[in-house]
Amino acid sequence: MSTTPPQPPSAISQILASKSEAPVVPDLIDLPSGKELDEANVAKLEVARPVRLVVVAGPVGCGKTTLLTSLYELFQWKPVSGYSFAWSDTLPAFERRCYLSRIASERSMQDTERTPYGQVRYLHLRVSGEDLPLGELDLLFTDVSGESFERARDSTLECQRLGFLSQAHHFLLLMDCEKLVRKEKRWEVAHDSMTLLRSCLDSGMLASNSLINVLWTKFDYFEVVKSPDNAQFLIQLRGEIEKEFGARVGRLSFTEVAARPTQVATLKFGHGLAELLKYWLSSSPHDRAMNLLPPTTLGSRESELFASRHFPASDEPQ
Amino acid sequence: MSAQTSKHIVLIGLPATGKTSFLAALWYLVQHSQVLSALRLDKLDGDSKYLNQIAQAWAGYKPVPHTRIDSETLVSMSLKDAQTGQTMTLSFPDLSGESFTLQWTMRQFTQGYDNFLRQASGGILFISPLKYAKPIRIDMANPLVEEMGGDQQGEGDAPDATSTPKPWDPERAPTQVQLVELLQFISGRDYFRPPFRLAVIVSAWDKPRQLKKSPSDWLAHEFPLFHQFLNSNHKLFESAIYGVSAQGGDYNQRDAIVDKIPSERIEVVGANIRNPHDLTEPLQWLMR
Repeated sequence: MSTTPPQPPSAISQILASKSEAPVVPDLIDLPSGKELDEANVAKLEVARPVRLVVVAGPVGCGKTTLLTSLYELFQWKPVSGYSFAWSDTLPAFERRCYLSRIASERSMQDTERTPYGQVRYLHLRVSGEDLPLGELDLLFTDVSGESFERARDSTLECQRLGFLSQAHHFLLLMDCEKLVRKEKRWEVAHDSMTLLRSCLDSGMLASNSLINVLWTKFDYFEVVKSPDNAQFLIQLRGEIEKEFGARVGRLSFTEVAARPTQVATLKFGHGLAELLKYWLSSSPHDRAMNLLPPTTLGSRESELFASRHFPASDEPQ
Repeated sequence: MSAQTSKHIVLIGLPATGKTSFLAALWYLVQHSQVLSALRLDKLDGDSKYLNQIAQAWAGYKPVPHTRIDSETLVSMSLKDAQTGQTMTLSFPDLSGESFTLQWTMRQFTQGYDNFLRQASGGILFISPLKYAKPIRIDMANPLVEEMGGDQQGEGDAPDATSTPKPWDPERAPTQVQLVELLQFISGRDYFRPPFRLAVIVSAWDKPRQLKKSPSDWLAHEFPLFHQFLNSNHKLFESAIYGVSAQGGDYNQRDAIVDKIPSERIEVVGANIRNPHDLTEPLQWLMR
């Protein structure tokens, strides 16, 4: 469970006072905030339960947060891929991110609030399913700004600051099809994404057993054009990524995603997410041999303890 | 003669979900022999003013008084099992629905509620089928707007003046999300001992009854996330889902119900319900 940050001491008391002629102000107990989790919260969760970390990486505006909110939205209506919603320590955090795509916002067009540059935060979702080893599994998703990944792309030192990378069970590299269909933009976008992946590998933050999933996000932009040129480009780009990185990682896969399609009616809301969820739940690099020895510079802070459980040894072969 | 047992049952529910109407109908039912009920009033004991007040309103087809937000009324009933003769005292806190909304929005609850939870042997969670917020997305609503001749915008269009978003207000979150959080709060308390028996009551059942679905099917269709949560956490919350019409119908159309004997206005639907007017059967399940 998440810890509770300090609340305004008189939050409910003020409301009670305003609604009552002779207010009786009761003693109040703080409950979990439901906000995004920080590393300390994650460490507590991870001690208590098996957790799978999904890193969602990509530049600003490629659809990272929309991917997560759309998965959460799917559970609002029915189980996904046979898995049911079981718990979330971050319900208000999900709700805030969904707000601009809901009619409750009184908008006529959907949007997603941009994730601000700053600290690393996580969203939490527990799902249940008969084929899961314990009947349920906790998923943690990074909710990190695109700026952070742009910095990591440009500097291996910056990349090494993103400690969560080395803990990832799944690394999602998002490539924005809205840009990939534009000839003047496509190679620039492809280059940036491949450079980010290279930086993560060269800095030692992603190990040789990493599960890398390239997501063609906003795939409805590809579907609406359906040109042979675009199809050929995607084949070519995929081939290049496989050639460059296929031998350096545990598994490299490619998935078409349209989390919130607007361009074609043939792709439904959350296109590709059910398959992704199934993949995340069924595959983990840690099921294979992996050196989990903690680093020798083990500290006592919760974030350091968390890191010690997850960081691959520094001599992990590349 | 065995000692009288004492049970605490917590009533959980957002505003206007039928908590007080349930208590009012229950207090009337257990005092009268109009229908057979599993539990009967054993004796009056202590202050019954509040229960009498709400039961009087119920019997007179008047809305029961709204529970004040700063009120933490604790009501008790001394009841007897009609079959075994065993007597028991059932206590319920009648909290306002707003106090549960505040748990979600302000992330706090009162010491009084916490104390009651600590002693509770089960709970009843109330859901109204008349008013609840669904997680409707803009992309779901736009085709309807278009069908009705309205204008819709695509994602790439410039927002118009009406598109200025209101700031996020947690109170407008889907009802099912708020309910999940209320149960997560309960099971997160250090004294929580699973399984916690939870009767989920869909109130005003005379309305959804027309859809010819069971209460469980109705809940799965209208509150799917909450239904998934209950199924996923059956080891934490052992639940039974009921449809209950405590009033028996709409008081604005009381001609349809005034000819009925008061206790027969009550309708209870759910698995293993033997008497469709017996509001005490869900209580009996909670104490089994």
